Amino acid sequence: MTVSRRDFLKGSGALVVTFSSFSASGFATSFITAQGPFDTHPSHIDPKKLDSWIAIAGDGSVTAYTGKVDMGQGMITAQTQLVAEEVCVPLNRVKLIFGDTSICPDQGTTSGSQSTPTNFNTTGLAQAAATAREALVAMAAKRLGEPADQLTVSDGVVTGKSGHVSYAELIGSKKFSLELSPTAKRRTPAEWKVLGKPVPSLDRPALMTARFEFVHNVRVPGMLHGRMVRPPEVGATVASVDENSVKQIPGVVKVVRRENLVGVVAEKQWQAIEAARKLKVRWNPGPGLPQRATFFEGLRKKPSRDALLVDSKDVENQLARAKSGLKASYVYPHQMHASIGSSCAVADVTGDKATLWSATQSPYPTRSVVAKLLNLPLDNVRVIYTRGSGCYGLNGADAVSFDAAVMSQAVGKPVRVQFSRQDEMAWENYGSACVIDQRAGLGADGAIVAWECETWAASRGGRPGYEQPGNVITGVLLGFQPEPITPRAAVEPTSELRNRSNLAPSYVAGCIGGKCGGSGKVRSERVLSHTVEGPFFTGPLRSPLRIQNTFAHECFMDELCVQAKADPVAFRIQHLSDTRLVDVLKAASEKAKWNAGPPHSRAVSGQ
Amino acid sequence: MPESGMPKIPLKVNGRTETVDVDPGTPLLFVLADELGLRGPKFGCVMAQCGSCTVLVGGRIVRSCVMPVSAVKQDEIITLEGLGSPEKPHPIQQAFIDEGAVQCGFCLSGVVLTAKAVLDQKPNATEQEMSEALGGVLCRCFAHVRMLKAIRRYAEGRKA
Repeated sequence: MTVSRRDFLKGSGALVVTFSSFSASGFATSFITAQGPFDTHPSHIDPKKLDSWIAIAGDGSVTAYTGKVDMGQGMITAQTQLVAEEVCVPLNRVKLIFGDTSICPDQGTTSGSQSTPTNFNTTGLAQAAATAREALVAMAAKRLGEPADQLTVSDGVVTGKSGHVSYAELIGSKKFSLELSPTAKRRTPAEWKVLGKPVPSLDRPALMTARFEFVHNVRVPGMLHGRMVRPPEVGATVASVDENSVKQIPGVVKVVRRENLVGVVAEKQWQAIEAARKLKVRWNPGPGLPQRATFFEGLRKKPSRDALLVDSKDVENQLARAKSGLKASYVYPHQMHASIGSSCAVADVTGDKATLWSATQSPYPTRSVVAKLLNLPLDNVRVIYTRGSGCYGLNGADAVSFDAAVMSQAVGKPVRVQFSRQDEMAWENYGSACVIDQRAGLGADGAIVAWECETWAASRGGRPGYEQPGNVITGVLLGFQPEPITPRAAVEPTSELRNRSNLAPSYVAGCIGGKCGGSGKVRSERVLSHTVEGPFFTGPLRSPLRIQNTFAHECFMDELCVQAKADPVAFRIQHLSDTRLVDVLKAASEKAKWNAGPPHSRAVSGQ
Repeated sequence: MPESGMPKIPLKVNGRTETVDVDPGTPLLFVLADELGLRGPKFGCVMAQCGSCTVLVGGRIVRSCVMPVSAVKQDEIITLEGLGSPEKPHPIQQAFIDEGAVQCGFCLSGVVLTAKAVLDQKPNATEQEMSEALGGVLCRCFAHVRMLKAIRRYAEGRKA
């Protein structure tokens, strides 16, 4: 039996939707997502210098360095291809090292799908690799006594009329001592030998045969095991710790306490778990959680930081003139990243030096925060990115790295900290809970004439960046505060059209000052967001606020289809201008054996 | 129990005999990962809910995070690294490599070893039976479709 998607939808009645009275409230501006810093800081590795990115060994093999990291998204394979292409060597002659702050340049955080644009466009790795090739060709021109533009390069060998010379002969093991050239010419797609061709991801054989080293597998000589003892509730503080309660457990090395951060270090992991379970800690209660029944409505009433992303300024007019209208409110709960493996990190803090094996997406920012927490000079801290289990945004990877660093400093020995499932699930930075109000009007022809979307997102902390330890639980336990949400009214959007932001529906092309954007066709549009303080730590989940808003947009689109008596796939395609989205919809509806036709009316109004 | 009183426990792992010096109540996962340095079984939920710690014990699928090491006795333990090497992967590992059935890779012990054990028992297991067997094995990256393709490829290959 084949179940079509339509049958499935027919059978599943539950929809988390409330249709409530619509309140037209004030409009405002400027939205800052919890995506975290795309910026970078100056460091001991100068990104302007070619030697910071590329080295050619005596055997002609190429080592490249990037600050972006591979968490399983396959970035490292694509960027190894990039280096091979631009330097003109075979793929297997390139080794790309990533995320080690002792040797890789600072490229901020690996987030927001920015690793490819950062390194493939006009800066970063691509520019470095193209600079290296041009420099090598210039050296060869000198050596062969021929003009550079008459030479060809292939497989790490430069060939002219009078002969050829290899990269190894030209520079092997020596430094370039050059700056990155902003004019270095990239190889064109027509010239590509390595790029644009499918390559199996380079980590596959090691992953499949369990030779791959996850951060959970890192073992350092003399390493001890740490386990955290987290508060029983949000905002609880330590009243007292009874160290005697774990004295009888074999292998216990130390009960660590700093401010409200409590943990146990033991020789073996199982002993640390036993000790953490048995350690008697008295906690002062926290302020308690908001009432569940009024939580979402409460978000609307909080002081908020507002952003008006798009405002075509004719929404009210268009809605007033529309043949029919629809409004709906959607609520979306806090949602966990729920990584399959609870987060883990290994820290070796001895004397005034610290080395950290961490699955953070932000090696340099983490280095900066760890230096701050341990009161060490920045250059004495080394962060080595080591993959954790898939994180999909911001799981406990940063928090556990800070925990491991503090615990290791407390005992003066390497410490591995692995969160319990409870530590991870209770204290990770969840996806924000949201309330999303939607309003739209349909014209006489049944098409959408205007769309308004207003979102309230509960927020607390986020990526710690370079200096905000309090954006995750460990920092707060150590006495830091989350980055404050300063209430602010929205200002009129002007130059920057945020129509493709994570909050805007896909079906709009709202204009500001005559400039239109977006992936859709609805020209009358207003998107307003409110960031408000929430009780739980939050962070990007997949992409910041995208999943919450997409849920509301697509649910609302289905309701509009009912109102317009239109086929939900055709109605969506009718309102899209982005051909890629249209193709995705067509492909998905074909695969789902979509049975076109107007949707069955559902009794939803007033519920 | 004081450290010195811990009995030495012999284990057969991936064709070798190892002796470990731990509390007999220690879950097998901690022994394999911490004492023997094996990378196959992973610390997932450590509550027998995700499958990432899966090993085969006497050919049976076991969640090593909840099995005390003392319960293993004479049975041979096979971990994901015990199946094959990067140079010479087991055919099921090769099928996963060929299909690119992985993203972060954390769940692979559960997926690969469960599928192998099912097919060892029942070479003609249906897709339905395979899906049911894998129902309790989580993959948070959502590589399921490719994984099922890889398992199909392996199942067909071993029949040929």
